[in-house]
Amino acid sequence: MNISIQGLNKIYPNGYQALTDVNLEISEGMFGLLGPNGAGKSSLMRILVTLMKPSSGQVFVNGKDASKNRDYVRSMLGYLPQDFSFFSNLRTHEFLDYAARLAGMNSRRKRSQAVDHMLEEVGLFDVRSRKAGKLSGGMKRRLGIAQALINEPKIIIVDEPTTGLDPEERIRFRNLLARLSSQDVIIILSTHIVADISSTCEHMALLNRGQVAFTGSPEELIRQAQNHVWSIYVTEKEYVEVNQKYQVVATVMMNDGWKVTVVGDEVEGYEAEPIAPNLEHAYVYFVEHTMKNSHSYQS
Amino acid sequence: MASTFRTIAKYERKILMRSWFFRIFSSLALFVLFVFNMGEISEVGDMRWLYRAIPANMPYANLFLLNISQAIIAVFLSSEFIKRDRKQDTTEVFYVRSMANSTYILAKTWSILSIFLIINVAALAMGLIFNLLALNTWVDWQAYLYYPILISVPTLLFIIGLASLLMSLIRNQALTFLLLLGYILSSLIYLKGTYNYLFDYMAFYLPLFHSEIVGFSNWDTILTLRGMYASFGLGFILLSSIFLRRLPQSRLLNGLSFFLSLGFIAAALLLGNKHLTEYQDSINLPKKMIALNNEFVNHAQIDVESHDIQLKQQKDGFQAVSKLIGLTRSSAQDFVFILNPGLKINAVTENDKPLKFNRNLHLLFIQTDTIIPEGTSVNWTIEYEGTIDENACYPDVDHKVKFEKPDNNLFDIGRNYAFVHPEFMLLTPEAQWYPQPGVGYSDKTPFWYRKDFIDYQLTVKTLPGLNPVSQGQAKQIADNTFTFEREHALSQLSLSIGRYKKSSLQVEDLEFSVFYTEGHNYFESALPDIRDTIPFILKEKLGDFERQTQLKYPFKEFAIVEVPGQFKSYDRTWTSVHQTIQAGMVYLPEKGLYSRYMDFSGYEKRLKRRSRNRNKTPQELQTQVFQSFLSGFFRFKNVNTNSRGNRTEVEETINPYYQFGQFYEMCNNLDSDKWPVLNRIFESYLRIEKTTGTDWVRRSSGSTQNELANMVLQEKSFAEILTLTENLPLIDNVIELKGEMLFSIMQAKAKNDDFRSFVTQVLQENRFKNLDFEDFISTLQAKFGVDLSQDMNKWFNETEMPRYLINTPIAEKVLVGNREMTRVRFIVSNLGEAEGVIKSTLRLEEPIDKLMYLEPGQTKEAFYLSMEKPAGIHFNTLTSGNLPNQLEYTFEGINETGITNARELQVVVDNPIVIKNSGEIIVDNESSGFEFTHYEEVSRLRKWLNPEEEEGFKYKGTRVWRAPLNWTATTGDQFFGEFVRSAFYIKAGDGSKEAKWKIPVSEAGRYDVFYHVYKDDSFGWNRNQKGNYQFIIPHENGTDRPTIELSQDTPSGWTSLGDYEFASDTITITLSNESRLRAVFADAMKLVRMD
Repeated sequence: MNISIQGLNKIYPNGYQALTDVNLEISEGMFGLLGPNGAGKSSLMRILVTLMKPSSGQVFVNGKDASKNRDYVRSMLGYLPQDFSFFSNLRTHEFLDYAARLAGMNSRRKRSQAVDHMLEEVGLFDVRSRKAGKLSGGMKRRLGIAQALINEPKIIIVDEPTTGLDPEERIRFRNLLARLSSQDVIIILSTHIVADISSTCEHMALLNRGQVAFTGSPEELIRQAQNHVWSIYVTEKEYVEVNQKYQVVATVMMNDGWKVTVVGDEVEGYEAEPIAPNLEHAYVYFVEHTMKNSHSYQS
Repeated sequence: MASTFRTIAKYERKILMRSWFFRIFSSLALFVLFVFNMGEISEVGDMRWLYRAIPANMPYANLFLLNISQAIIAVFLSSEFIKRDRKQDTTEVFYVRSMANSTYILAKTWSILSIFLIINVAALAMGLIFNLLALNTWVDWQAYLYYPILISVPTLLFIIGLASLLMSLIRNQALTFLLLLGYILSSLIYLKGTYNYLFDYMAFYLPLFHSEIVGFSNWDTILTLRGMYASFGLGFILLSSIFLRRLPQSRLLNGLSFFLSLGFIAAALLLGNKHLTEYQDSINLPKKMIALNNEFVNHAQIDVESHDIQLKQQKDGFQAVSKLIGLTRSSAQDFVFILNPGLKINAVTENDKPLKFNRNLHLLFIQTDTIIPEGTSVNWTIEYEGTIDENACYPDVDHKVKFEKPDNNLFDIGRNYAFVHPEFMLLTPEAQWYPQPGVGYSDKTPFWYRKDFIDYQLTVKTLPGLNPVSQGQAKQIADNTFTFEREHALSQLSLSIGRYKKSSLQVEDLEFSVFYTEGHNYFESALPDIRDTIPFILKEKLGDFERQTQLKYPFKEFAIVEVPGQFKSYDRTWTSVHQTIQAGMVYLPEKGLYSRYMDFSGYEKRLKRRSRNRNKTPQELQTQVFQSFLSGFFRFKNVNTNSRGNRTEVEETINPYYQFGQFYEMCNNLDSDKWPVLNRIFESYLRIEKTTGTDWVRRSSGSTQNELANMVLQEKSFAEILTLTENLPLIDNVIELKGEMLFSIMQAKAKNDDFRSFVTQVLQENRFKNLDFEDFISTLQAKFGVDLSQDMNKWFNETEMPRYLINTPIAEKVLVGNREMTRVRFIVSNLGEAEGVIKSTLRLEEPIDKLMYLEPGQTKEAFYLSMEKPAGIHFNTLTSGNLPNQLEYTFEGINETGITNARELQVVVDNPIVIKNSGEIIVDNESSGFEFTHYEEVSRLRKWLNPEEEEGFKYKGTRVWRAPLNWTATTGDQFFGEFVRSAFYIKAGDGSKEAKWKIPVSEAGRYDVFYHVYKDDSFGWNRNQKGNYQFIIPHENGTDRPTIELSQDTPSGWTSLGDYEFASDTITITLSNESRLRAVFADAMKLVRMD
């Protein structure tokens, strides 16, 4: 299984360019798509799930041109969009059954087993007869995940899947995805929550203003941020100044002032100590610091 | 694909069925149907015969009603569907699944369609239960299948398709909904049945009546239109799958959908075009026919003496041989006949020698080798075959009238003027099924009209198992071959062929028969308790009618012949007899479905329910039922009132089953080359049931039809009116008025009470032949010395009218010899430019009519005597410039006079009546000095919804229970006025609306002020009603606000408002609408000089 994205551009009728020459190679396993709001993640996703045509460029799935083989691509897809609401009049299990049949599960017995299994997986079995409109926000999200995963799709594309989930649910969901990624599937996870990626993805891409800012492993991204993350102790007066001058990613109040973590190539005028970056630091470094200078880093 | 389709349909259906909107709507729709069934079909309610007589009407009515609501709701649901699809992310999880766009849209459409089909099934199931429980009917199972297919399926496909397509294109639910709702309302309110129901996607106007004799009579139109809408629907649905905002999955399927959608839309357009072409042909043919008639109206013709028709029925038409023997009317080589343009001439021969002929639409020109002199006997045989083109029937009737939906039924039953069907045939003279000399209707001259009494012979060979019915007694002469024997020459011939059975009853020398089609003998078990007395009731009813008309029934048989419900005929200007009436027979729609009186046992049940009938015996009730049934044949006009907003419309149409035609039109003809309409005038005089100018008609609509006819006569001469195409609904009234006027003048001049006997005697002597008008005039002159020939031209061409002033009649006791009698005296002045006759009727148990003839400018005093005390007197001014044209007086008391030797007489008086004495100033609401405040309070929406709400006639009805919000003119004999007795009235209110009289006072001084008070009907219903009129009178010493108190006991007429000093100026007296009464009337103000 592999997805190859080549020279993808998307310009909307109003002239807004959402994607600019995007090239990505995605193979089995979990692939994280990270980027700020408006970076073009959703546009890319929508092109990948055949909801939208690119303005130019191509997407190949297992070597087949997706735009000419939509049935092939769709027959392998499981998709969870970002803002997902339901037909409030369908019951939880009916909704899942509807999705399962459209996903190609024709045998009633198998479908029924799969629906129950999936409801258990996402922890909705107890509310299987409740109407979708009466589910809580988290439950709805989980039902959305369930419909995307039903009938073992080969390509799972999830857009901001953990938004609205409590920490426990989030961990459960990550584990579920991790388990699936060990099978022969591609999971593309689009998110702006860095922790989702750091804990699950082996590969990732960073998208900013429609361009791929980085592709590689999360470790590689962190490595590139080495020596660009600093810890500074400042007084209250200095704190304001630092905030204006540097990209602050963390602030801790101390007895005699503030301990501030900033991202930047170097820090002048303060006693700064380089610290080991995490993925979030790296993400900020790339988005807020590096990309401002229109640099593009590729591993 | 099938699995995907089923899945989507299944779950989308679930979603829809669980929506509150749908649940509420469907429950409401079913509830409405329940109420309808309870009210109209069940025994608890009205038990409408229309539904029970032809049981297919029950599922029809249920679906008709359901269809209106489902058409609207389908718009909402389908646009809601697409709207849901537009919400990103909601349906995207389904969009990324593997399926074709067309599968998705088709499955969604099917989900909507299927739930509506479920409602249809539920509605039909409910209808079926009522059908099973209904009295005296059965279940037409097939109708439960074809009506949903014909009504619901095309409607839903079309509206769902259109909604989906519009929604895909416009992408705005509110706008789509508004557009579609606009379309639906336009099709219901504006477009209606235009272009032969082309825009009627709901089949709201399209007749879908299924006759038990011929089935659907407009099958071609039904299939074309319903097919067109279904095709459009399918095309739109497939097309909206092309416009779906989802990247297509399969190019092949997408392409296929596109071509299929184009195919369906093209098929729909073709069907629409076919329909439109046929429609254009149908409206053009009459125009072309009339143009030809105009051109050849003076072409040479023959007078037919005998006509032998041999007709052979075929599956799709008939073959016929017509042998005509007659005399040429003029010297010519080319003679004109009419024959339906659907019939093709095969040959024309004279003694087996072929003659040349020419055909131009319905006209047939037979050409001889040489010129034949006038009066030469001819013997021609015409062979022809084909079918009847119904578009050639009623060319004079406007096509809009032909497509009007009648108000009295829920749905339109449809209209056919002839039937040519393998199982049934109906040919009336209107179908022009046999050649007749001359041309048809011309709008240029009335001289096209001809009526001849001809010795007809008819031989009919039917298809196996069918029987023919025509005038006379049928006699079988060979297998499926029949001939008809009759005693008289007839003016027209008709023929029906069907699976007829005959049931008859001999009453002395008259045979009453019913020719019914198989299975329609429900009447045989009806009225079981009076079966022995039916002949006596029939005889009595006929005898009464003969006595009143002084005319004898001319035939030896009277037959009721059952024909399909769609058979329709129209009022004509030259005859009051419809095609439903033929010599000695009447064509009644199957099982008499339109009339509750034909539902013998049902009507008896209804009568029994009334409390006043509780103690009546079955015999009494059944007699009443039978009498009601008979009354349908002796009522001249059907009067319908329609309320449109504040206005009431009265529509009078001739009752197509009125049997007076048998007594005159079928056996007599007053023939006048100069004034062909005289035949109808004659008939109008002889008919005893006149158009009822009853009080309620004028009170609700503002005027009687006769008054409106009078208005038309004031502007146009009778001769002109007869050629008009507008005002057609009033033509009967004009003819009736002119007829009554002509004969009243004759009778008044003849000064003889036996005038009518004389006329009927002349007619009796001239039965089954033409009576020449010149001969009639000579006979009249010989008998009474009245020379009418002088008056005819004036009567025909002048527009001047008499205008009458009538003083208050007085009733008094007098002695005639030594007998005490009541004498009524009154004075009438004719101040108009034309002579006139006033018909006065003393209100007695048996009213007495008196005629008074007045020259222009003449004044006469009348003295009439009666043994009984009359309650009042009624004046009918006939054709006159008076409004109202009928006045009513009630005698409050009868004075003692001591007069002896009183005589009945009319004397000419020198001084005409004056309504204003010297020293009096009167300003009436008709005067220029009258003004009122005006407000427009009709909403735009109501105007839009009622586009036909026109201004109409100036004077409206006097409806105090729903008085108008603006000052509105109305007339009545209790109002003040010279020739027009009128007032303005308004709903009583807060005093913001005023009426003003500007009265010119030329001489300063003291005046008594009077107001002419009118007391409306509400004083009659509510004995305790009290209220006042409030006036403002400015005078020399300030302003007074006098009031007039009104109650049951206060008098009407001139009432004093007090005396005031006025300067020589125009003073303005104001009346406000502030009052506790229901309505305030502004009539006339009078000033009387005191010194």
